[in-house]
Amino acid sequence: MGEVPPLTKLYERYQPRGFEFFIVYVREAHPGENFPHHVSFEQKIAQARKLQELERVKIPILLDDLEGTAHRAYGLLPNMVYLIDRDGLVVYKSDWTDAHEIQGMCESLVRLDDMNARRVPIIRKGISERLHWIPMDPRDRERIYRRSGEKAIRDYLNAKGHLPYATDVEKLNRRQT
Amino acid sequence: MAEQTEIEKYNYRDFVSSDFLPFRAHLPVGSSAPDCQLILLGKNQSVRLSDYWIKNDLVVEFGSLT
Repeated sequence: MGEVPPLTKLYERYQPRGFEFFIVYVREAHPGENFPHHVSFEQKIAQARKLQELERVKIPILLDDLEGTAHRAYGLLPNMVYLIDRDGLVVYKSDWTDAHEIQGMCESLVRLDDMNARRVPIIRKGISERLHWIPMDPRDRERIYRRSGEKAIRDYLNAKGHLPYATDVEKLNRRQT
Repeated sequence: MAEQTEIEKYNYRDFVSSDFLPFRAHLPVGSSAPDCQLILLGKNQSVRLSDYWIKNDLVVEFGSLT
């Protein structure tokens, strides 16, 4: 998880304005020697506590079960985000955490409350779609993979053909040589 | 070699690259969010997502330590 600090800022800003934030702790995306795949719920709890400690997570953590019931229900991706409104409807989903986008959506819902308070008529709920480009600091990625262990780095290299923390420029250079 | 259980397949031992494409069609915006039972870390308390979304808008990030 490389997005804890910006998401924490949003939590501190919007939680007093009527939003709940949670991190749902799921399977280890890159199991390694130090933090292996889960084999028991006790181990899962221990590693979730380690996440809380190492990343100084202030946002409350919810634990999924060992079968990944919630994770499967929402789409199985490692860093996906959902915003759910008070009717239980998905109002935003993203395949990767992007704090800027989440902030935009929180502001939309604050505006909606304001419109409702002022009895502004709403014609209908509209839908928009977009691609977004997510920056990732390679130093953050390297820190997380090294935390997991050499196995996690080897597994990624085997699966993808490059190091997990290679920047796009490094990947491009490697392709050209 | 014994067949892997569903729990073992889900909690893979070696990194499996995620397929991001199916996510686009999964739970489209405007659909009802699945209500799931989860454990609140630190309080060992069983909660449902709907316990929260019934009162407040809810931001949920899925993640792990690695």
